[in-house]
Amino acid sequence: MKEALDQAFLSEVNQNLGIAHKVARLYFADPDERDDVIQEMMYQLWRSYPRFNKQSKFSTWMYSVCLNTALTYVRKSSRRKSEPLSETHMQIADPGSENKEEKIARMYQAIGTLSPLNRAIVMLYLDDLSYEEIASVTGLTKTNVGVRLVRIKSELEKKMKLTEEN
Amino acid sequence: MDQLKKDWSAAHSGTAGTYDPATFTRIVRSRVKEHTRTAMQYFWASFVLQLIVYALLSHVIVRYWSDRTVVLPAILGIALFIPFTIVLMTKFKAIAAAGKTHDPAAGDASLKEYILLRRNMLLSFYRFKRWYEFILIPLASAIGVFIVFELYVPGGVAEHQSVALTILIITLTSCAWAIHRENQRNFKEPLARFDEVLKEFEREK
Repeated sequence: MKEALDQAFLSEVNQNLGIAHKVARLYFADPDERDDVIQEMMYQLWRSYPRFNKQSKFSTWMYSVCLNTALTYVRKSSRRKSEPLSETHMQIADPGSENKEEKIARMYQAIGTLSPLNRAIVMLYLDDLSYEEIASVTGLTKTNVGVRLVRIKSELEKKMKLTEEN
Repeated sequence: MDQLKKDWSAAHSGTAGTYDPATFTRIVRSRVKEHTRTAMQYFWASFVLQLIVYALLSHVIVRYWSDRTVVLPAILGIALFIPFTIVLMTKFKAIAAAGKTHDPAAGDASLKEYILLRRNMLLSFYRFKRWYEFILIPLASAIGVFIVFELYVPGGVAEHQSVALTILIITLTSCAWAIHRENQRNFKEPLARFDEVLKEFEREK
């Protein structure tokens, strides 16, 4: 590791760490695999940071890198061990109550039934990114993002209703 | 959907923890090591195999210089391997470099561009590998069987055609099985996954 760790970079990563956890949870059901992919995301962020042109927000760039990593990630070996981390790094958020955790699980379950690309779009939408930002992260046009979101919303509503009924 | 947005926001309102510089450095170091190890494993596996082939064929050429029936196939074998070694190493270097140094596309590439780049890189290497496997492996196996029979079996291939052919088929079958497994895991499955996502980008355009 030739380059020193940039403090500003680390502080930005820490402020936006939830992005990596959300993306990992969206694409990987296995907790071990999630830990592994989060570490891969950290490595990819560090590796591509010198190329970050700062024209977009750090968080938007972080969504891009984390999604790119998650969608192209192949675990090399089931025996590969991730670096051991403290408990605070394993949490997506403080669940507060069991009810809240159930609600989160239901949301992820419904979103998890969507295609990989639609999962990314809906996550970016739920995280309040503008259509323009979603288009820039995914590579779709703004119009296409709008069209897709209408369909995704109706698909999700149906799925959430079904989950609640069950 | 508005309710979902509220729930989503509430669900992720907590902190996701933080990394201290030492932990982050440890993660990056371990990843650099991991990527280098994976790249070097493949490099040494293919490079050592080619070195063995060159060493064996060179030995045959030097030791049996006067026997043209053996020396000519050995020279042919080396001549066939050299261009493949060069191309293999060049292509491999490009893939290994993408894994270790700053990725030119990772900084500002969209999801679509990034997946396309990764897919094309993998496909280019896979196409070359298939060509290598279809041409070089059968030829090298045939040359190997021929030389072994000429040197160590009285009468050579001419008097033991069916046995030589059987050994060649066994060699090729075991190679094909190993290659199929490797390609399925490292090339076909990832490429299918990339294509699936890219197809989705084309849908509803």
